[in-house]
This record gives sequence, structure tokens and C-alpha cells, in this order.
Amino acid sequence: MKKTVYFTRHGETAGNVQDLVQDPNIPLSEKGIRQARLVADRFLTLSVDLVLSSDYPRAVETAEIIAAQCSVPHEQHLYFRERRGAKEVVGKPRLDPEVQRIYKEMQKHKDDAEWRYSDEENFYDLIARAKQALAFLEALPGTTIVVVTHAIFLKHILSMIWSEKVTPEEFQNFRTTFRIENTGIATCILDSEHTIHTGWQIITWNDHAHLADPVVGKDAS
Amino acid sequence: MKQTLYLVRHGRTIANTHQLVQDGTDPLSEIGKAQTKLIGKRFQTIELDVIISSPFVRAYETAKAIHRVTGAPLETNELFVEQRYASHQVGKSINDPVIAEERALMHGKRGDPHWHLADEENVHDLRDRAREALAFINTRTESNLAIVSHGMFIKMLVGVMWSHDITAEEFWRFRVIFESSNTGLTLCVRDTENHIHPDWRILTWNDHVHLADPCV
Repeated sequence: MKKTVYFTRHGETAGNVQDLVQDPNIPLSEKGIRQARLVADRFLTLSVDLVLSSDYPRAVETAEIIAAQCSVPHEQHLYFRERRGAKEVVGKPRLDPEVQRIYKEMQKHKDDAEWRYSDEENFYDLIARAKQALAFLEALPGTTIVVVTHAIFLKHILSMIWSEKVTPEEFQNFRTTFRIENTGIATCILDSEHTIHTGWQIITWNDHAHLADPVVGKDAS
Repeated sequence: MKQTLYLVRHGRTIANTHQLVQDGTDPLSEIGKAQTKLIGKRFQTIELDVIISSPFVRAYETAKAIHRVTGAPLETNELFVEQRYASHQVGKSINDPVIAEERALMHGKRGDPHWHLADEENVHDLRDRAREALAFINTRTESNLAIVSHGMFIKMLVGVMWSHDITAEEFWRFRVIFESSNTGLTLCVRDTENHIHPDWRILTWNDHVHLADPCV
């Protein structure tokens, strides 16, 4: 049994442009909607069975555009939400000195599974959720699934595909080294005959060829 | 200084198709030649300042296809050749029982930097060369570079970008988990003036949308 999952980051939001720690409710920008339409065209040729997404508006809007284009159902699941940020940082610029101070504090405690600054999901919470998300996908009947999700959570998915025992250091390497654009696609395959490591393979990461559209041009990327 | 690096794996060879151990002389197959035309077309809209290729025939033929389209100067560099296999294995199938046993033995000894079956590059040698290749890339001042190389070497180059001290175990995971297509395109970007992230970052791994061509 072979299953293909196209993990796709949602389209651009005003929060992405302003580099904010995003509020869950922020919607797609006009450019984000154009990006979603371009990625939907990519999926039209790929025999998609189902589109899943988190319940955050930016993911739901992106997913609905894809599902409508492919004429397939769309379902929302809490598994695919973005990392819950500490309430003290949500909505603030990522590079704000106070936000950076809080992030540094979190870094100091990265090896402590029980430590949280306040109400955020820490690395261990996110790895556990990524594991549940992958198990959920494995159990679904469809063979070609699009999952519209979020950048930081997707990097946790990448890390969990890498190893069920991924360390905070290994995750940091993925977080800093691998970039993911709005509507970038990570193509992953689960092959029941491929029994090495976690069973998943990463075929592409952040494929965003659809953003180099000559008609939309630089506006899309 | 902002730089973009396009890592391209060579087109398919007959040896790739039949899972034979290769050296530098294997040419592209007919499908491989068609693939190089497709990757060439991708580069029609990409500005390139230089193409640096492994001198192995399959890489150089691929690099020439990109050079024909872009006109960018073409150089070769031994740093970008494929992981060197034991010379007595070249031309044999990886499923040959003797070769399979030797490969299993080499895999078992992967933690030992000094162990070699024969004259092959082990994982540690490969990592050292990838580090050297990265240092060489970091001396280049062109904004847009294409490097045409090979599956295993590209994985190790990305591996040392991920972690300078990547271990044999970690590289094994990369090898098995990250798939690499013939003429797959891996984009890396760097901004030396970005104080938070001055090092290379992987923007895309193994983009091969150009292979979805109905003619191939």
C-alpha cells in the first residue's frame, strides 16, 4: 500500500508579510488567494482523493480553493494546526526584543519536556502531535491526500518523518536549514513495503514551481 | 551578498535503470538525454552566472544541456563527483549476492571513520569532501550558481548544510528518507549579511516538476 501526502503550507497572510507571530484567525491576503489558486491548478492533474487542513482561516481558505478546483471533499482537523504560541508573543513582530527574549528563554529549556513559558506547545507537545497526525493519515483510506498546514508544524512533521526519536538539536537543524514558502509543497510517500526507519519518504520539500508563473510573475513568489 | 545555488542531479543512465555500480564513464540513456532537455528548459527563465559540473560523463552531459540554454560559463571540478565505490564493484549489480554482502559489511562498519573494504570513499571521506566542496562554494562570488553532481554527493552536501558534524547514522537517514530524482533540482540560498541566518538554507529539495512531461 502506497500513500502520497502533499503537505502544503497555506497562502500568504498580512502576518507573513509583516513577520508577526501569527494570530490563529488571520485570513489570506489577496496574494495568498492567488497563490492558493496556482497551487490548486497543480493538484488538478494529480488525482487527489481528499483535502485536509487545520481549522485556522488561512489554511481553510487555501484548502477550500484546492478542494473546489479538484472537486473533492475538504475536512478540517485540529491535528494540523500551527504551533500554539505563548499568549505573550501572539500577534507581535517576531523580531520584537521582548519576543526574542521569550524565545531565548524557551531555548534554554528546550531539553525539558515539562517546561513551558506559559501556554505554548513546546517541542515535545509538537512532536507528539506530529506523530498523531502521521498515524491519522496512515489510517485514512485515501491514497492521495493534500494536507494544508503551517510552517512550524510542518517542520515538526518533517522531523517526525526523520525519526520518532528526533532530538531538539536535530529539529533545530531542520528549523533553521529548511525553508518553506507560502503554498510550498512537501511531497511525502508512505510505503508499507518500505520498512526502514519510519516508513515515510520525502520526495520533494517546498516545491513552489507554481509560484514562478509567467503571467502572475514576481507577485506570486 | 545574496546567493542562489541550484544543485542538479544528472540525467538517468543505463546503470541507474539496471541498478549497477557506476564509475565516471557511464553515459546518459535515451531517457536521460530527454531529461536533460527538460531541465535545460527549466533554466530558460533562470539567470545563471556559472555552471560547475562533476567531470563524470553523466553530469557533464547534463551540465552541457544547461549551458546550451543559458550560455553561462561551464567549469568542471572533481570535488563534485559521486561517492567513489570500490573499483572491483564497478559494473556489477547491487543485487549481486557478493556485492550485496560487501555493501552490508560496509554499512555495518559505517561508524568507523578508518575502516575501508578496498579503495572506496566511506561515509566519513564523503563528508570531508562535502565540507571541502562547501568551503569552495563559499569562496565564489557569483550570485547564481548551478552545480551538476550526483545523488549521494548532493545528499551529503545538503547534509553538511544541515549539520557540519552530520554523523554516519544521520546521513543514513538522509540517504533513505530523502528521495532524489534524475535531474531533480535542489535550491539553496544564502544571505551573508543576514546576521540570524548567514549560512546556506535549503529552499527546495528535489523539485522535478519538469519531469511531468508527457513526452518522456
